[in-house]
Amino acid sequence: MAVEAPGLLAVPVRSRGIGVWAAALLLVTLGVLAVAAPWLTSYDPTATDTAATSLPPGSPGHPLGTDTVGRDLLARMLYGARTSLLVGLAAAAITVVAGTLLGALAAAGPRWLDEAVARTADVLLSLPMLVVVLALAAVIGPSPGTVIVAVAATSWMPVALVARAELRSQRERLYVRAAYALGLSRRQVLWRHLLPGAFPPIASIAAFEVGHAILTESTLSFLGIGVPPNRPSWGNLLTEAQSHLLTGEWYTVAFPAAAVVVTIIAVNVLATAVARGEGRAW
Amino acid sequence: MGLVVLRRFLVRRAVTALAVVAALSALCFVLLDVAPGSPAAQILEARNGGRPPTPAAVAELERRMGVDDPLPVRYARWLGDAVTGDLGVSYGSGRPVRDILAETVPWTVLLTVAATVLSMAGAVAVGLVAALTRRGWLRRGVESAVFVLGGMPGFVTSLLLLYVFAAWLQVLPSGGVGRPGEPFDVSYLVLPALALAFGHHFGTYVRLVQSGVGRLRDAPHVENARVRGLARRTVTARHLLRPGMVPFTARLGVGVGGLISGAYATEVIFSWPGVGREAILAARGHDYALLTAIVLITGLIVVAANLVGDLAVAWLDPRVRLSGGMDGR
Amino acid sequence: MSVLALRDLTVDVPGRRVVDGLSLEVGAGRVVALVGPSGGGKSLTARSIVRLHGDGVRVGGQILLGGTDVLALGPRELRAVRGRRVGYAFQDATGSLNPTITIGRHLTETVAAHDVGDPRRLGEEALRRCGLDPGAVWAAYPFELSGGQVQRAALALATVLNPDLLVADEVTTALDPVTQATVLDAVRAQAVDEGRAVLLITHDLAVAGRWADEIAVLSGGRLAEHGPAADVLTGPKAPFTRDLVAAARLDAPVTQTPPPSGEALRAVRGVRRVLRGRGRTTVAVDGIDLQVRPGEAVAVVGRSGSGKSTLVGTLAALDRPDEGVVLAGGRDVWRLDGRSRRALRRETGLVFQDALASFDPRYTVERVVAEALPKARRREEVAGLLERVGLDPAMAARHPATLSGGERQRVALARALGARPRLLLADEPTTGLDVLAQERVLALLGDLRRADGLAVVFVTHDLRVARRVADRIVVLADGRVVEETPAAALEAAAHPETRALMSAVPGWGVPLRTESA
Repeated sequence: MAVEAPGLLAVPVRSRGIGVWAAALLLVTLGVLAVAAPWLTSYDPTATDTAATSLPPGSPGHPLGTDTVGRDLLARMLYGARTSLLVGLAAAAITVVAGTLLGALAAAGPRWLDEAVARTADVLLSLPMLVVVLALAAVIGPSPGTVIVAVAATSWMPVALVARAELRSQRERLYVRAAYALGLSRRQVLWRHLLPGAFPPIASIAAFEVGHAILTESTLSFLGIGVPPNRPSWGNLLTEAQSHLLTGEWYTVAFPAAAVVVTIIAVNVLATAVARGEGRAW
Repeated sequence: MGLVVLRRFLVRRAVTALAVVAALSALCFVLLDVAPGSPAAQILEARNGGRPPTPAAVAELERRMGVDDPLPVRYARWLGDAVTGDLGVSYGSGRPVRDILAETVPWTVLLTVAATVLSMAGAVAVGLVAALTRRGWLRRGVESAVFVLGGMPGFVTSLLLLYVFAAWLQVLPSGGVGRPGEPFDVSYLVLPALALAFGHHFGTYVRLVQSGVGRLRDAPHVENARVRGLARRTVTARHLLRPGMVPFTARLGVGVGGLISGAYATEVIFSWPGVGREAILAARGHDYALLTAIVLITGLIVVAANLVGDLAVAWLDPRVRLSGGMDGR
Repeated sequence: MSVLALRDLTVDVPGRRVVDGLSLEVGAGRVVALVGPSGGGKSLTARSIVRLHGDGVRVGGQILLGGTDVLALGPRELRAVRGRRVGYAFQDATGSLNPTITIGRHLTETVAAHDVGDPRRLGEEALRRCGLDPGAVWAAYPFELSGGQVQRAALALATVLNPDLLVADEVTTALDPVTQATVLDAVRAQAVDEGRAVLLITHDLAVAGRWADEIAVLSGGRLAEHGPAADVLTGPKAPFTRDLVAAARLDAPVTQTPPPSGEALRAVRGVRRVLRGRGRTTVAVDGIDLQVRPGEAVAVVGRSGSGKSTLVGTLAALDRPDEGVVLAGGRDVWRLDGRSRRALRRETGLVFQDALASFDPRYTVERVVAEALPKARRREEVAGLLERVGLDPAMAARHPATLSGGERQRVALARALGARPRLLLADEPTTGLDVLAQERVLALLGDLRRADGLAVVFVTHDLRVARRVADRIVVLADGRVVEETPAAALEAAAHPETRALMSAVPGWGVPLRTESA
């Protein structure tokens, strides 16, 4: 059954089974762990310890082990979560806000503005995104801010196009005409019918954008052009661990990789639930 | 009448493609232009074998390169050079970018073509099974697998394959393309191609096939085809697949673009000597001439792939070619 | 021997028996209409004849096609029967054709599948039989044809192999009456000229009366009545059939009102409205004068595309005309300030053909109706309004999507009445409803007029409905008024467009089909 709250933020999320709750719980936990990182571990994630290199998981004092220069993996994972989640969320937030604004402007504004937004989005969508991000990151120089800007600049288009299409199609619906026929003013129609109608699809694509942003951050950092190596992020951890795959220290790869995958899947589960509530397959 | 509209559709797509190329070239030029550091100094340093060049030599080269000309002039010169195949000199190695591309592009083409075939064939096969099966568990199984795959960044898929086949089972090489001089062994291609194929939006294509075809399974026109006594094969191929594959085909061009992007990470992980790996190295080493050239080349390939995809859709779906385009994508 | 014989047919969907022991025969050269309300099992019966009932639907009894039991056939034999011995035409003709191949390809692939002759020749013959020019439609895609053309092309496709039996499943439900008549003439020609047995599935008794030889009435999954069309229509025996015939007759006007008097409530003078779409502009309304006086009922009649709905939008003060004026109580509505114009809209009730689409999909019935009411007196009034339109106030908590078509339209009426309007604009409110639901809506409108002195503008393409509800009938064609006549004097109308609409109405002017064969 659909759980509905009245008003603008009525996002019908179908709480089918435990998957959605599990995903939400997992993300909340990750968020708490990331925020509480300094209190959960006494290790400095960048401090090396030549006395404790390459310890396997379960070693005393190092539950997840250490890397080849003796840095504590648990500390690196926790601080990495801070960076990865922060960058992902910030990039997604900017993407969604900018995309929605541009889409709304295109839908409501003059024809030339509509054309400009739609064509620009078309052109940008036709470019290979990672390549553009790569170029941007290379020129601006690696930093969390670069990643946020690069992700936002290259992924606002789907949000804008969905927002634009939704608002336009809402406007054409018969029930909007019926609302005007009841003597409602433009503002009343906008708040009572247009925005609540357009919100769920935008919310859904916004949720997917969060997953996409986390994915892009980890990819860029992994390739060495995202978050600089001196600041741990899940992608960075993977870069360093990559060479250990063939030497048997698989866990240095497994933990950060699992963290990235599980986070993105959990975000996508929520996004799908939002989309399903709207009656869309995906 | 139909032909006129078809031509209008093609013209429209071609105009869009031109706009993309223009935007792309402008982007590349701006990147090159605002990039920090002096290209002339880097080139000279590379030529001198790492010794810093004298300021006079740098100034002389900069004058020859025309760095002080107005922006439109520089853009026009750069564009003219690019069109004639002169993509400049790599800051890193001092070699002409064109030579580097000539060595790396074929490897990337090989990898992307193999991955495209794997990805698309796999997506069509899996998508059709999920769309046509009457077994609920099979459909749900595919959907779950696709969902998990959708949460895996391409490089994680690569690392996973690398661990399983190269480190654990040790049945395939972990990277590279073999020793120079020896004939190329296909076993080097297997892992990168698989990683690229299944690590980049594979789930999206499965879903496009599944929903496109599944939606039509009991559509009136398919029922009508059955009720006219057509052979099962005709019903499936002509009435179910042809219209059902339109959403998938519409994304083909974009999909190839995604694979080319994805090839960057895959090439780095598997030490594949293609443009992607070269681009990452160039980005890390601030070799903007090489990086820009690669961005331009990949962009052009993607634009071409998009055009081919549009043509395929127009061929499959007369509504597209007769109405003059797909709006809102 | 009859071409089709149903023996004790039963159809079960999970949890319910939809058809319960139906026996019916259709002979060569005969058109038998299977009539009943929506959801009464007509379509499932038709689909089971070609074994198109889906998974989970169980069919029992016998379906004999020239002596062979369709239900007992193996896959290969079934394929040989489909198309070759029985042709099937669907309700949604455009949807029943593959949008990616041409009409000609549809025809040739069918002939080729059964390998019975030259595909091109047979295909062209079939098109000609259905009144289409092969040269014009052969290379066309389904979406390039008009509604009537595509339905006739689908009919040609169903009969290209000269099957013994044609099943026509609600083939004209979505068409305007003039187009409907041409399509049904083509269906009837299949029986009369080609000697086929035709099973015509319809919810419209009048259609059955005009185009069928026999009428079989399906009620509650059983055959309520079966006989020659004229007998069933003139002397229905079963109570259900009597209701159906009474509802379909539409002869007596709902109300007899004194001639209206007083100043015009709403009027348009010389309005012209141009619709600008992508690449083309249409003059939807081209200089119309019309006035509605208090308590008067005016019917606006015309085919699809004649400008009816545009006129309603103009009368409702929603769409601004490009030329001409819209007057309400003598004031030009487009010179009023926004607030007064909104107040004016509030005092005008408006209902649409697609009631469901006119409700916000997130709203319950209660919220839909309440939106028309001032905040202070919402809850109690919603119940009162629902009762007034004959709905159970307990429905307030439901979503409109879960209601039947007739119920939705009454919810729309309840909302329209919320602000106690003096004028109600109704844009095809009964199109697509079955006759019983239509009858209830029309009767309700009559009551409302009597009780409140409500003035009504009723848009329809059905002259019978127009005559039933209106004092005055205005006929539109191509955005102009071509005829304006008191409803009582409709028979004397002279304009060709009016005559065309009249002759298209089943059972008007044309005598009921009597036993002639």
